[in-house]
Amino acid sequence: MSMLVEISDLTKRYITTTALSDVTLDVPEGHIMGLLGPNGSGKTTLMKILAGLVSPTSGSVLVDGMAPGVATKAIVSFLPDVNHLDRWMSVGEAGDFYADFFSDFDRKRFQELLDIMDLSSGQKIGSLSKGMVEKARLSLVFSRRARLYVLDEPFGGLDPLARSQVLDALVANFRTDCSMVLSTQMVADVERFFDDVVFLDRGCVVLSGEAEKLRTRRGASIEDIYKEVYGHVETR
Amino acid sequence: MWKLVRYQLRGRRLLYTIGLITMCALTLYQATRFIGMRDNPVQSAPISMGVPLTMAFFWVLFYAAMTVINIVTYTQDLYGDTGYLVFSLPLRGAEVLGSRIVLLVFDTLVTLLGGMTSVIVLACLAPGLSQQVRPYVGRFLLTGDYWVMCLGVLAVIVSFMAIMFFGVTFGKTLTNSKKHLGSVFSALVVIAVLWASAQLGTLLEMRLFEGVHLTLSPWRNLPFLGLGTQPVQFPLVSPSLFVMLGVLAFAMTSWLMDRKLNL
Amino acid sequence: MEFDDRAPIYAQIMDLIKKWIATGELKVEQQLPSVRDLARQVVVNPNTVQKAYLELEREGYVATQRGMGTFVAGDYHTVDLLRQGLARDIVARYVAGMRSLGYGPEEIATMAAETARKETT
Repeated sequence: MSMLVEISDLTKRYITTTALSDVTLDVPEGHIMGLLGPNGSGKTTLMKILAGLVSPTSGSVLVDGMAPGVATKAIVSFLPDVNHLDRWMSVGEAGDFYADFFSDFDRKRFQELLDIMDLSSGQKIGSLSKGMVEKARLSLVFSRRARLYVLDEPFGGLDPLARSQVLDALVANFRTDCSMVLSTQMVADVERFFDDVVFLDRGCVVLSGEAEKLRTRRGASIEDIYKEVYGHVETR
Repeated sequence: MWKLVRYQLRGRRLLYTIGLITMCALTLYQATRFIGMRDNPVQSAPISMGVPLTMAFFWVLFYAAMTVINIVTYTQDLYGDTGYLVFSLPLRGAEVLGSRIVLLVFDTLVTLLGGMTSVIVLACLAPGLSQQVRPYVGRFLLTGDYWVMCLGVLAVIVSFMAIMFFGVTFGKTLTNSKKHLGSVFSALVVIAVLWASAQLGTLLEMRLFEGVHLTLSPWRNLPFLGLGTQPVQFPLVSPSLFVMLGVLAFAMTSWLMDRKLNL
Repeated sequence: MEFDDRAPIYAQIMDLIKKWIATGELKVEQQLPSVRDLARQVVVNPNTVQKAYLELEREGYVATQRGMGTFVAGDYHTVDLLRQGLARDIVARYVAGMRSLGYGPEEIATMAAETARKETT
């Protein structure tokens, strides 16, 4: 199985803090990886590095064999954990913007996703509720036929109904020639979508592996393992 | 890059519309006052002259506002949430930065042309002044020296902004803090660069390029201005040095965006 | 679909399909839903469904025809065996539950028979 993402000994240091230290992990092509951990564990930094928005201090990161840069940005579809859209744009204009800059943007699929999410292209981003902005952003990100989807807290602002709409869209659009890395606090709701899981704590990988093997080995759900891992860490 | 410029312009369409309508309204207001006073040529030329000059001052204010907006939007892209959109596009840093410079040049040209139009229109209508001004408008617009001066000023402004952008970007590569620690730092960088540039410029002018000046007479086709028609000596060495620094700042900022960004 | 997240999901999908075969919901030589459709239906990762199909194929319950899809393999006999196997699993769970309450073999059988009679009338 070929690896779409190869990360080895990745370290990211800021002046006062170390966000990631010696992270090594691979994402096989066609796999969905869950990036788990409490706030401040380095998930967002790792995802921003994959998206080419943060430069690594040391170590190597390869996305489809290339170091993050202009070429990888063309094949990585990134969903940040905050609203990255200009408020003056309408949903449709945001679609035009994506279509203009990303050659893998599929307008037809965008329209389909807007229909599924009950959004219309005339709505202004600035006038949408938090959950609707979230759905618009997800529609944009999933409308790209990207090689790698990097989704930071994609279910954060969604109600249970919207969450199931999004999960359905995710399964319906998933292809075997792409991979997905996603972080979430709602482990129980999405753990059935993970092929692989990585538990991060204070910038280090504390546990990683195939979700099904972890379930078999520990006789526990990923959520239980999450509680165990971080409960343990906290009392240490 | 041009696509990015187009989207930025679209984002600012409301701002431009409001700004330009305000400026037009001010010009029209003054123009109607002048037209109303035409039968009453009591007002002397110097007082009439004051109105177009006030108008020019308003245009400077307009430009200052646009410049502040340019710096603020750039800072927001680096420190705010929209940067995640701009910097996840498959564009090189030079293209992102270039689009900002193009916008800046656009703002400058709009201000220059708009300002010139309103000042000339008002001068042509000003009681006691219009008779003197009208015959010279065409010739003034063809004064090469005037346009060279404008070009020089534009180059210096763009360089200054490039250095500002460099400061902001450099601050952001050092820290990922959202608390604008970087902006404080970037201000320091800008001040340091400006100071160094001024010192070096003076030094070069005194030691190496003594007496190198650019002598222009931008107002030579406006004889009614009196003393203003004398040729003006513009410094050449310091501004050239400054423009070179601007180019360097552009190159370094692009490099930082490509390699050292911490959004 | 209610799965138990403490056990491997693919094994539970295998059980689900075996149950469908045993109850006749999926007949011999009938085509299984596509991996993606089943994944959407039961809301899991398509790769997990794929793995379940591969395992079922290895155990001989289904067969994949290139470019056509996955079909239920075997004949009446294998389906019957499957049904008996599932029945034994249910009985085993029932018996274990009753034993933990302290009932003996005779009582377990009687109570089961009584309940079954009540249900049918």
